[in-house]
Amino acid sequence: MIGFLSLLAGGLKTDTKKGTPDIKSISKLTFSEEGILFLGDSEGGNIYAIDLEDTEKSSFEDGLNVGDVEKEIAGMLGTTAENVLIHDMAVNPISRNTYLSVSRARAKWTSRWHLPNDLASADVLIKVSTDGEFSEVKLENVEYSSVKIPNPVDAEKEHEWKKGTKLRVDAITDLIYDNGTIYVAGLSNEEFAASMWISPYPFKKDVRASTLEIYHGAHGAYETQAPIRAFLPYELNSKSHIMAAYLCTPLVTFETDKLGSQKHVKGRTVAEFGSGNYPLDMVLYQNEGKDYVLMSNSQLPLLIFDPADVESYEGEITTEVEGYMAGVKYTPRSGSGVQELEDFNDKFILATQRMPSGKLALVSLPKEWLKP
Amino acid sequence: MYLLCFFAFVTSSSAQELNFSVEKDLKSERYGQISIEGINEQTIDMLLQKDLSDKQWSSFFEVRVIGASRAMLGSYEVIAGKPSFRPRFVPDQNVSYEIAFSSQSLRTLAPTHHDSREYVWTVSFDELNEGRNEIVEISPKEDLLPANILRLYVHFSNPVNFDNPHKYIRIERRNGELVKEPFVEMEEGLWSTDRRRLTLLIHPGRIKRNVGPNMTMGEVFEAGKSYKLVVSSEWNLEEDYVKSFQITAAVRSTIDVESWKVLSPKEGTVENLRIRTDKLLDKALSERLLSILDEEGNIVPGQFVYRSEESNLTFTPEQPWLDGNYVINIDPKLEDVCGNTPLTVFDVEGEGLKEKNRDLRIQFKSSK
Repeated sequence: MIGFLSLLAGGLKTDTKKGTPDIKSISKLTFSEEGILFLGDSEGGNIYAIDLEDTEKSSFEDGLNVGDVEKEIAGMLGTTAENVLIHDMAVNPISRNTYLSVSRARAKWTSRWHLPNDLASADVLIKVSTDGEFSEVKLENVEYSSVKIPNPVDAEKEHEWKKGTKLRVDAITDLIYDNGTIYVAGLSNEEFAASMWISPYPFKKDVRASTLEIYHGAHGAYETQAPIRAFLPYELNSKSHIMAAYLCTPLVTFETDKLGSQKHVKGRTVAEFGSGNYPLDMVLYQNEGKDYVLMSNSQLPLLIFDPADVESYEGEITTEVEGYMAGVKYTPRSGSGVQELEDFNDKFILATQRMPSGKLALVSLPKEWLKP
Repeated sequence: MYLLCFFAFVTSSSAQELNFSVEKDLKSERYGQISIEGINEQTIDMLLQKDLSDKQWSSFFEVRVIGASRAMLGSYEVIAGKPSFRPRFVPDQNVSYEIAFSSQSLRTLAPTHHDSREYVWTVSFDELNEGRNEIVEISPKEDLLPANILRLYVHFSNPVNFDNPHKYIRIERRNGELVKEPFVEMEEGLWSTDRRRLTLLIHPGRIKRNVGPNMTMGEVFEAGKSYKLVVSSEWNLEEDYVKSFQITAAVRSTIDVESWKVLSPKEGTVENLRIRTDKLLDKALSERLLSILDEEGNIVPGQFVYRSEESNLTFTPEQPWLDGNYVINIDPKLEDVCGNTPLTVFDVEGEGLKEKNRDLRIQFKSSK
């Protein structure tokens, strides 16, 4: 039956095959509702869609909590906890298994301007089950398909002020699957480096691209070279949009129909959340039936903003912001050191959090507590 | 076998004790293997026949960080008649490991195993290489280098261990005085993937005119003066390695591809194409960023080699040259030793910039 339907769909598809994909770096992870793992490989410049056959539906409604994730993984990597570096986290919405991309490079994390992908390429995938069991996920002999990112930023280009870091580590900075489409934010080799790539899934050979331009309130300038760090698709005023956050920390909206069809797209800056900070992750959730966005940061607190506020915001930030913040307001939440965020189940958002002891814990944040 | 220290804890002692051995495989991406010695042939045959899963292997043979709750990731194989574990990662020098082998558990899978002891060997992996390392050369090999040289490469004969290279490398003036902080210092070093080539990056902030470090600390090298690059013998070398050189004027001009001279190879032979370049090029980039295309636009397979002492780049084709036209394609990212490219001068915005769409191609025809 499925074979017949795919014949009807037509078009040139890249077929899935069983084998071992040649993944050079596990830069970003995300899942589709069907439990397919999408893996962004910045170094190789590819997006992989992998069927890990992890589709047993889970009825786990509690929170998952692990006190010291780095220690659990350290032994498997032949080292001690202070060397274990978690790069990204994604939760399979069907099995509720948590997937972590990991490397051994944490000892290199010496600056508040570093992000994990700056330090090394993640080369191991670890799974944490809902009962807290850790195991390696070997990406060998799997059913997968892939598509190449057209013209990612050149492997030789060096970061202007992060000495020793190549821009290539940010070829893919965030990745979302939404309703049959993959959105990839990152850096291209075009004159305007900040880009968004759009591909249908199942993959066809063509990937559309747009370069992006935004006004950065804290810097008082238009920017085209810094990549999106975290984004979400959302409908604003009945139109499909992308809400995206950047380093230092503007919040910008883009009209989705322009992305991929227009070569260069200008975003609308709706907020400045404060300078000296990386937005790390964004997740959409419901509290008392209403939508909110929870965002984690490298130097600012955990924060909540209301997409309805983004929708009703009438201006646009186009001049240098006086003071630290501007535009759409956010509400801070207690919880410093929160890094990765993922929707876990009806009640909880799963997060990694650096605790006062220095340990990295997997914590479950109750959605009912996250009301601004 | 190589240098490591271990203790063996054995529950009882009599003849035919098992032992372990470690073999490093420098060429493989995986570290090497840890093998168990003394298992009889019938047992090995049984293990091979059963085609054990990782879970079954680890039921009797595991390597773990002491105190860790889980064993090290890796793969199991029978290598040269011995059960062997190949760790997924290079062992950490600062960590103690234990190799756990249970003869009892092995017997439940292979009753022909003669032994019933439990073994726990404590191991730490000291050095990545046995014996001394050697510096093959420091490039560019020239004795005369421009004041704004950007990179130097140190080539070792064997892969080098995880240590901060800047503890062992210094630049001295003629009078022995140290040049302060000439390099961009990265604790983990800038290494080639086989860990045999170290890139030393002269601090670009000091080379670039009118930027902070250049104005406060000054340039690293002064034209007309002599210097020594010293790699200390403390870095597992027989003796200090010294490269003496003299500095000439800074080179702030683009690579002039149009001035390159090409000596065409003879058709029907695999003789070298020789290109005489105009300045001292970066060896690694010049060997990687040029390609030869035939009349149909296909890439001609072969190897580029840059010999700075002869100012030339040679290309040796894999197949004989055909009678016809060829094109040498030069990537605009090609750099000379100062970071200048065919289109830009290293530290200059706008000044001396050539149009981006310039064609960096040289045509030639094979000679008769």
